[in-house]
This record gives sequence, structure tokens and C-alpha cells, in this order.
Amino acid sequence: MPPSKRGRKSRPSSAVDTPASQDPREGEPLTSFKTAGISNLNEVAKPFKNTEYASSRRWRNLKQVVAQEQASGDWPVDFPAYWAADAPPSLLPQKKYCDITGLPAPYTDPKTNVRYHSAEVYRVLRALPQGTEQQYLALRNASVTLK
Amino acid sequence: MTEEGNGVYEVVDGSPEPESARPSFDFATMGRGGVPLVIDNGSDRCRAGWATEQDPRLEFESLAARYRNRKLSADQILLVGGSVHSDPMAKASIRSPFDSGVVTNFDAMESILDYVFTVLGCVDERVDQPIVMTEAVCTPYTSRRNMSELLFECYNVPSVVYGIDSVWSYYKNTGSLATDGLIVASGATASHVIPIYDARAHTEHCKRINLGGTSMDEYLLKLLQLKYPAFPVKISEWQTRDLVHNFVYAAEDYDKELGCYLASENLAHKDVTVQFQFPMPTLDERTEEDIQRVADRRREQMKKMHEMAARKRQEKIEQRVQELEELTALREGREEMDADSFAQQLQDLGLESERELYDAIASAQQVVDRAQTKELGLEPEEKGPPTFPLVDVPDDELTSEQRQEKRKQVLLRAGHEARERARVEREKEKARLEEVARLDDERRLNHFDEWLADLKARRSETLARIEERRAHHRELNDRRSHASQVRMRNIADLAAGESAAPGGKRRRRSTDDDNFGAEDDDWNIYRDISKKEDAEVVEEDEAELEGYNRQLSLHAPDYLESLDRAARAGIENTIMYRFTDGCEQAILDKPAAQQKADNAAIVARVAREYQLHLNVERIRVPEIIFRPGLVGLDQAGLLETIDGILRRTGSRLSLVNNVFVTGGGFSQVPGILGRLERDIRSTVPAGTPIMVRRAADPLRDAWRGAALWSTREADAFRSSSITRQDYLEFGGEYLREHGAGNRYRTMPRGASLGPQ
Repeated sequence: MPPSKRGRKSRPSSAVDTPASQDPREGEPLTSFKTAGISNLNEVAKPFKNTEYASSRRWRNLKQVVAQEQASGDWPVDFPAYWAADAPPSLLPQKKYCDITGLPAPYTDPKTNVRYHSAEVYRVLRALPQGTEQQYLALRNASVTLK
Repeated sequence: MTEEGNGVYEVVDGSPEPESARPSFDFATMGRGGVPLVIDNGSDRCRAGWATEQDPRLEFESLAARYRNRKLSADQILLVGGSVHSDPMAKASIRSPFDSGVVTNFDAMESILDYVFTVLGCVDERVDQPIVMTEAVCTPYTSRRNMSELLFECYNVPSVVYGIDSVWSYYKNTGSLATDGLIVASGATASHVIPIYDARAHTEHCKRINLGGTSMDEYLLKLLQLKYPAFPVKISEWQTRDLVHNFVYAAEDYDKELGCYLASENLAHKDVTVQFQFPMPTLDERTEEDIQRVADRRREQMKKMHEMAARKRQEKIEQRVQELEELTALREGREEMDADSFAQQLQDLGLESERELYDAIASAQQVVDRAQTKELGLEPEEKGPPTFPLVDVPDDELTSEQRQEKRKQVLLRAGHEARERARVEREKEKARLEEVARLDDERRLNHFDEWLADLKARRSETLARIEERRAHHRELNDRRSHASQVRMRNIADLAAGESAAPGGKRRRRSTDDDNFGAEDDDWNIYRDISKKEDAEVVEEDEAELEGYNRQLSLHAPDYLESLDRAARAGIENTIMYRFTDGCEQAILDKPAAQQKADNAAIVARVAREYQLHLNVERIRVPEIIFRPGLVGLDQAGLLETIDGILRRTGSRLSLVNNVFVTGGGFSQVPGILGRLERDIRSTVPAGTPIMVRRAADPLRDAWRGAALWSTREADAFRSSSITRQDYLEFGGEYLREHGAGNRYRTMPRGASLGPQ
């Protein structure tokens, strides 16, 4: 475990392994806040924070945040909202590439839907353990998921 | 960039050391002048420092871990930045404030800001600094509202300016926003294209492709896991990141380059061998001399053992002789002693009667004689064929005792004759084999070519037989194969033919016996339906092959090697082999020519098991930004997106004369500039001036640009600062617009962001 070098400037050698409960206002503002080589930020006084501040916010992932925001009102069409900035689906024809090797794929296996480059790759495809073809399909998000 | 050559790349091991922050203790002095505190809040790394300085004071990974480790502390531990990797216990609790480039986890964000202000040395009651902070393009209002709430209520900052990192990077590299341009910015999880004209960033025309640096890492990792399903070690995220960083590049013409990527002339300099750490195999380090010495010692020991055995044998013989002498003495002395003492002596020797004494003497004599002749190295003298005198005498001429004896002799004679016959048979076979070998030798000496051709033919015949059996066996494992079906039919037939239905009615039409078993071949059916390979036949063929190989290696050593070479070439020329093993020499399962394995070869062999080859992946991985369909993302590629933006901004061709690539992720990929230029040229009218360039420092220029902008554009800075007053009056999502920032509209009527 590499020791963090933080705070070394302030106290060259004695800094290691001193659980710092010192008031940072006395002397150097940043004494080492290390315990056994780990820099624990909780052991430093943070006078700049408002002690009364306690957020009631809940953590939500971006999808939820955006969905809620989008549904919450009539946003103008031309407003640069997060969802409006998403690049639209491609209108160009998509070239097909071999799922196994990545080479151009003129063929598709009708049984598994895996695209393949040549008869040789097809032999490999046939010999794949069961389920592996789904992993290959999952690469391009085309796998069949059973619900 | 494509000329890494054939060298073996040794992949990094473990995570990098956390970078050390340069702590600053002049917060007060810097702060008193009202110098803005600039925070480039990137989704991968956070950078913070004073606007008047050249470089950020702090740069660390945007990660925080809040966890407990009883060994270290009774209370909760909070780690921020690279040090989250310093304690393995923290691993499960590592959190990033970001989700797809937007801050959503404000607990982690709070930890990160705590860290920033602590390390910058803030010891006042509040953070009394104007803050300049980057935010994502088109940040959702909820995210900004939470951020403002955090800054104003938790840290009590006086004001904040939000802006877009890549636009500030553009500002740093262009000197102003007055020049038209097109920003292509890539991050850890998303990439943006932002047009700049009329001296501001037009976020209403900006488009985002949800792919970034980590998308490449993930894609490569998945590809490698599928390419080497039996790879002996786990490929860590650091290693994947390292490989992406070092070896991927954007192909100028993807289809053209892809088409001939695995061709031998390209593979040699495009394939990269990546070596992972591997355990050293145990090696036989002895020299010839050592081996010789060990053999000598063993020989010496054998000699000693032999001597000892001989001595023991001698002792035994002597003992026997003594016994014999004792017994003979007893017999001789029989005359002189009375019956009682004789019986007593017999008993002492463990004998019951006088007759047993004679038997004992005879057998002892025999043992001694045999031992002595053997000791002298003499052949046991030929006794001559045993005679059976009574066999031919008619029974009625014999006494009952003799008749019994005769019966014994008849049996003995039969046994004797059978042995004789077998011996003659053996000798004949030996002679025949010798004759065959002699003829073979003769033929070899006189008609070598013919002999060799014949040998080769026989060898390939055997090989074909073995191969055929293997193929058959393989087929049997597939339930639907022809071989399996034949087998099932046979089983059904056998069952139908032999089991009688109740009521005595046979299932088969013919009621009479089908003569199964009349011919020996009938029984082969049971061998056929057996799924197991016939071990005897297999062994026979293997032995035969071995014999042919021995002969060939004696008399035509080149032939076997040429066979191996051909076999290797056959493997090496396949696309799949080149794909997984690059230009390495193929390892044959069963090489025809025997190779002596020296230590270097053994190590190389083990090392190869821990090797990866990157070839097609090198261009396949970064290609996803141009074809998001490769990873199943239903979005337009980078070029199509740029094209769309050009159209919607009224075909401002001035934009393509200043395409500015910045940020991490795809911006770091070598060859991306050339690729972009080539692709853009294909969509704009011929002769349009095109210029694509990368930021001087794609990673740090966003911070520097923000710092520069906030000191140089003092008016813009002042007018776009959101003060505490604004926050209280207009809400957390409120934004004062400026050229390098997002747009703001008041929330549409009826809109609410719900409970926070």
C-alpha cells in the first residue's frame, strides 16, 4: 500500500501514523490525517462547512432525474435540455461486421443471428460452447434476454 | 503510431500510485484578494486551483469512499481521490459523483468539495471565494439546483459561475470565443460536438454521443474475455485502460484497413503481443555433467547391491549345505542308534518319519545343486525330454498303483506337449518377424524410394484410421449426427429382436431364429453401439504409428519435420489463429518429429499461455465513436452528428476550418485527427478549407481556460456570477448565461422538479 504523500510538506517525517485531531487552526493548517497509511478525511476539522446544513435530497440516477424533469412540464422545443442533446439514431445504412473477429461479415447465421466473416469462422462459431453466442451478441446489444 | 512492431509488451500490474496533492496553505492570502477558485469538475478527474495561477493546485480522480474498517479506526473513514485504492476494504464503497457525466450523487460530491477546500487550506468559517466551476453540457436543472444548494448552503460561497469545460478549453487554445469553430469533446462516458459562432457556444445545436473513454475500456475488456475464454488470469480495469491508452488508434479508412489487417504482411507489424505476469515453471537446471554424475552414482550403488545380494546368496547356500550335511549325518548315523533316539532326533529336525527324511535330503540336495550351478554361471543341465514310460502300457498290465501313476503321466505328457507346441509356434513367429524385418531392411537398402513411399503410405493410413475413429467418437457426442442415429437404430433393432412381447408374440415378423451370432461378425454390433473407444485397437494403432515414426526419424528425418512444418503452416494460415495468436509459431498437439524440450522452450511455452494478442481490436475499439452500432448504441456516429450540426447551423463551413478536439476518451486516440479530417472532407463541398486540431493539453486546458477566462474577461465574469442573492431569489437551477456556458430559461409553467 503506497503511503499517500499528502501533508508531508507540513510535517516531514513525524506526519506518518499520527491520527490528527489537532485543530488545524493552530500552526499549520493541514496536519496529516493518516491512519496506518490511509488518509482519512473524516479526521480533519472542516470549519468552512455549515454545520446546520443537512440536505434532504435523495440519490437518483441520471435516467430517473432526466425522465422526471422531462415529464415535469412543457419544455420549449428549441430549449437545449439534456434529453434534446442526445444524438439521434443513425439514418445511414449500417455495415455489418463479424461478431467474433470484427472483420467485414457478409453472412449471418440464421440459427443464432451471429454475423460471421467466413466459413472458417463459421466452424468456430459451431464449436462454441452453448450460450457463448449470446455473449457475442451482447457486444452489440443484440442478445436475447429471457424474462 | 502503427509501428509498434513485434515486441512483447509487458502489461502493468496493479493500480497506479495515487498522485500526491500539492497542499496549499495560502488560502487566506489568495482568498483575500477575491481570486476566483476554479474547479474543473470532470467526470474522470477533478482539478482545482486559483484563477491567477498557471496550473491547478490539485488534480485527483473524482472518487470518494465512505466505509468502516475496524482495524484502522472505530469511526467511519472517508477517502477521496486516488487514495480510495489504497485500502482494499474500501473497494466496495467507492463512489463517483457522476452518472454519465452529470453529477447525481451529491454525497460523493460533498466529499470531493470537502477535500478540495481542505487541501487548499481553507480554515475560515465559510468558503469566502467566488467559485468558477465546470458543468456538463445541457446539465439537467435538478443537478445544478443541488450543486448550487451545496455551494451556497453548505459552504456559504459568495458566488459561482458555471461553464462548459470544453468551451473553456477552446477559449484557452483560441484566445477568444470570437473565432468560429466546432468542438469535439470527449470524456469518460460521453462525447459532445458543440458549435461555436457569434462568439458563444450554441448548446441548442450541441449533440451528445453516449460513448467515452470507459466505453472503449469496457468494449476491449469484453472482446478480450471472449477472445481468450480460458485466459489464466483476470484482466484488471487498470490493465485494460493501459492497453487502450497504448495501442488503439483510429483507422483512416476503417474498411480498407480492416480487410487486410490479418494478412501476413500487415500482421507482423500491427499485431501486439501483451505479456501478463506468469508463474515460473519448475525447471530442470542440471547440466550434462550433473546428470552424468548422478548416473555414475546410481551405477555404483547398483554394483554394491549386486555384491550384497551375491554375498547373501552365498550365505544361504552355505546354510543349506550345512542343513544337508546334518540330514545326511543323521541318515548315516541311523545304523548306530536305537529307534527311540532316532525318532527323537527326527522330531528335533521337524520331521515325522524316515521317509520324510529322505524326501528332505533329496530336495535339499536339489536346491544346493541348482544354487551351485547357478553360482558357477552354468546352464542348468538339459535333462532331456521327460519320459512317460507307463502311458503306452495297457491298463490291465498294471497294478492299481501303477495305474494311478499312469494317469498322472498322461496329464503331464499333455501339458508337456502343449508347451512344446507353443514354443515352436513362438519360434516360428520370431523367425517370421525377423524375416520380415530382414526383407524390409533389404528393400530399404536396395529400393529406398519405394520403401519410403510405402512407409509413408502406411503411416498416413494408420493416421487416417485414428483420425476417423476420433471423428466418429466426436460425432457420437452430438445427438443429432448421422453416427448417433445409426447407433440408436442399432440399439432399437437389438432390443426389438431379442425382447419378446408378452403373450409370446415376437415383435419381429419372422418367428424363427434370426441366426444372430452364427457368424462372429455379428457380435461386432455390440462394439459398434458402445460409445467408448476400443482401447485395444487404439493402442495398437498408436503403437503402429509410433513404429513408423521411429523408422522415419531414423531414415528420413526431414520428412517428419516437413510434415510438422506443413501442419503448422496449415494452422498459422487460418484467420482464427492469426486473430488469437498473431504471428507466433503454432504449437502442434502431436508433432510427428520429437523435439527435445530445453528450459528456454518450457518458459516460452508457459509465457505464451499468459499472452494476449491485440490486432483487429486496435482499430475496432475506437471505431465505436464513428459507428456506435458496433456496441449496439442506437445513435448516429461522430461524422453523421457533425454533419447534422453543420446542416442545422445553416451550413456554416467556417466551423470545419476550426475543428477543435479536446478532453479525454476518444480525443486521446492517435489518428483521430486524420480520420476526422478525412471524414469531414467527404461530406463538405470540395475545396472547403478544413482544419482539425487537438488542444495543446486536452486534459488540463479546460481548467486553464476557465482560470484565464475568469481573470481576463472580468466583465463577463462579473455579469455571469450567480450571487447568493440570485440563488435565494431565483432558485438553485438559476443560471446567468455567458459565452462559454449553458443556456437558461425559467422553468416552463407548471414544471416542478419535485421534492429534492
